[in-house]
Amino acid sequence: MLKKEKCRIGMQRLIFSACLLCMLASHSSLWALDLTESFQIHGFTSQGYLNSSKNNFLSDSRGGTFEFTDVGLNANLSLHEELRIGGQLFYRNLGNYSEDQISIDWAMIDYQPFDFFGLKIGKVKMPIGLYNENRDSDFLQPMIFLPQSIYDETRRDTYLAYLGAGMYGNFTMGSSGDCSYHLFLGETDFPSDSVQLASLEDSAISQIIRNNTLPPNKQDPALPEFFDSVERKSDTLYGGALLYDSAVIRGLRLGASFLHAEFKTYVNDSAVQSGETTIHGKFVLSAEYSWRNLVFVSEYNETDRTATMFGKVSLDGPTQAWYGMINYTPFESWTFSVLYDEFYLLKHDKDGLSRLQGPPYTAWRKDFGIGVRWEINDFWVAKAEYHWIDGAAMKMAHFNPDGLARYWSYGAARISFAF
Amino acid sequence: MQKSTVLIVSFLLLLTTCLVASGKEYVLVCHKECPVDQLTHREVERIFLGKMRKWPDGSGIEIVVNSNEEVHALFTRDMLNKSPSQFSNYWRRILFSGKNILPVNVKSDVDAQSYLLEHTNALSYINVTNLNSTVKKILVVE
Repeated sequence: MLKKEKCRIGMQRLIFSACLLCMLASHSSLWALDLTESFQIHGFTSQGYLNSSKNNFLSDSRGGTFEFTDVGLNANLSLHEELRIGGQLFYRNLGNYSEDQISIDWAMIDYQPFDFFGLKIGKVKMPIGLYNENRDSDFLQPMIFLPQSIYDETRRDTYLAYLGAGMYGNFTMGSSGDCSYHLFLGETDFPSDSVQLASLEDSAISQIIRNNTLPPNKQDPALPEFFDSVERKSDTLYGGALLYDSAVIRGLRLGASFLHAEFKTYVNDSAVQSGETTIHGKFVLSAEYSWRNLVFVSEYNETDRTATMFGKVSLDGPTQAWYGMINYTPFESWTFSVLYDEFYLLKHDKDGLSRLQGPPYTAWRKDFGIGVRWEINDFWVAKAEYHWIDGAAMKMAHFNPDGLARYWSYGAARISFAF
Repeated sequence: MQKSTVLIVSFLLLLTTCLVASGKEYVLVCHKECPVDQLTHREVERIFLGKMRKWPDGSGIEIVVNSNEEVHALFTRDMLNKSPSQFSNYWRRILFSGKNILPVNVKSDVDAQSYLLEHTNALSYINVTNLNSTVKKILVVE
């Protein structure tokens, strides 16, 4: 697309976002669209600015970009005190990622006859870690971006929601506190502009090109001669989460979540699968402690997976990720955050010595970030943050085809309106 | 002279404390026919955080958030260990992740009591000075 045309579209989107922000701002009550006691409409919109040095991050961010917009609108109808139907539409513009797409964020029938037992059927947010279910509502989080080691934006499509059925509930443990659980079974869907899909496309193309350059007698006949399209289908997916709220130590939350998933890849609309990605097990251990006006959070994650394309193993082994974050709220409306976040593509090769697809520093990402959140009133939130990074793991090559720098940084600012 | 000064200061402090307490103390209230007379602190917390949704007789609990400034902050901090902003964001996280709808919100003690009059399963909190015979006071025990 021509740069001028891209600029014009970017400006149109910016004006659209500004108009939407102003229109929504005309509502004067947080509960303004509670049309009846049992029917509610709510929504949010966020407009941000993203800028990075040396590497692009999630978009063409090196020169700065306003293509950083989220809009969400949800409706809920309680048919009965135990039965509810609801859904949320979501629009995101983030560079070439999730561009101009309105998607269903979640949509479900929720039936909860008892506190300890409920059922959800439909597209339901996946309970991974403490914050995955709220990953699209950044205005409710202390920082604009959730810690990327665990809540990687490029893998949003894989972990956002499941299409299927879930069982959940909450039960008291007496004076010790209470526990909530959520077990689910289903599949995920991949939109055509998914970064995961683009990454698979890159992998398929490079293997096809490599195969075509070989002498005819050494070429693998199983590979197609050209590339046309790639599709990824979810096969098996199940998981669960357990969250403990302590009454002994008030403010302490402990969580554990698990996921198993299998995805099949099809190149050029072939009926035979060309590749497979199996997440043998992804687990996240979480701890959050609120003490006075401080919140301490830490989560640890490993994802053991195997990825193949045209019979060749491209990735095999567990990732390792963890972060620690402190949020300090000295006044009711101001929160200051500091974050340290680490990710390793392969737990047993942290230095990237076995890495063939790029320089060793594409095997890790270490992020030190600071942020500020200002809750202007019940509707408006403004945030800003800056991150200093060592390493270029997590699909960075997709946004930086001309090469990657090891040390880089990015900053973001965002204003959000929610009602 | 010093003793009298101490006495006057003590008296003024006591008076101020009493005035503040009487003006801002909240009381938990429900419909006159609601099936409970008392709740534990933990139960109140679980109810207002959406974790306990049924009365002991199996009927649903409808929580009513009273945003009257005199009592709201006191209630959320004292009973739920959260600031009003944290409480609001807690429910908005639930809403935007698709887990539940927001609770009913009223702006004053009068509105809260009017709502309770018409809703048998509703539960709210008001300033103790505004308590009248149209609603039932619920005792909170540890």
